[in-house]
Amino acid sequence: MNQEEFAQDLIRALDEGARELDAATITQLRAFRRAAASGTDARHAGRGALAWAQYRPWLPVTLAAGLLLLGWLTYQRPQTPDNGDVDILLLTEGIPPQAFADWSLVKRDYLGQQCLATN
Amino acid sequence: MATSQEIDHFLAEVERRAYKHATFALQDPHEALDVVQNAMLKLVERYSDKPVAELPLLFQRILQNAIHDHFRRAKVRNFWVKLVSPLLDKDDAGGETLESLATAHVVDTPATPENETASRQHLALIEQALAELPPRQREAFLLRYWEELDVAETAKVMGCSQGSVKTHSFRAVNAMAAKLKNKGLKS
Repeated sequence: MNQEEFAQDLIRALDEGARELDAATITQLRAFRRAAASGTDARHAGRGALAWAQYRPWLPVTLAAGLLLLGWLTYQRPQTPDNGDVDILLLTEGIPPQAFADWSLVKRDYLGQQCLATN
Repeated sequence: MATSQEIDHFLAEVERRAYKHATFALQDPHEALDVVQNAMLKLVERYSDKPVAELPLLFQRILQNAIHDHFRRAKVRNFWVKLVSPLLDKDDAGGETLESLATAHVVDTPATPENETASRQHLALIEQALAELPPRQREAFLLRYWEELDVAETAKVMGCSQGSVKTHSFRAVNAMAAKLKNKGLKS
């Protein structure tokens, strides 16, 4: 028997040994394998997102511009009376009884005037 | 880029051999499982974007490195144990080479084939003989014949020249024949 044949005989025996692993070891190996393989998709997804952003150099500029615009719009929005103003009106009896039936009346006629007065 | 199914399929093909390989080298089934698990995780962590065809070589390289790292850690651990424990046996393999570490460990581990059938006894003897080989010879033998890597690929995984791979493989097969003959098995 030459060296190559002898080596192949040994490998056949080793294959046999690998096939006859105990159940607990096989179960553990399977669990390790599945845990490792399940990380693949997450990794690809993460890399995919990075790659997507990498080829869009305009993305950070657009995001920054969007944030600035949002800030400016928020700053420019007319200030509406808060609940404190309504409470004061109620306490000073500045709201007529019918206002409780039509709240928009209070908003338009009373609080609106107050806003104009304060501005 | 390998998908999770492809990775799973690849690992399913190699996991048992990888475990046995690690067991032959480390002589500890629990350590072997740890090493295989780390190798699997590292493969996915670092190389899941590689084509499937490249995975076998990468995995073998990771596995070999993990086994070497284990011996390096053991060597450092043994150094400190020796330093703080003057009562330790002077002949302990702590400060020796990786080869002597592995061989010393094997000598401490008696061959106890659990099954009484002849084929299982033979298998146990073969596995024992393989575990007793010097690490580089065993590595070359398993990579060349069990993992079916060619000489160039084996050299890449082992980080040595192709000539060294041929020498290690040749010596490994001869040593196996001699060991098995001594144990009463004919080659």
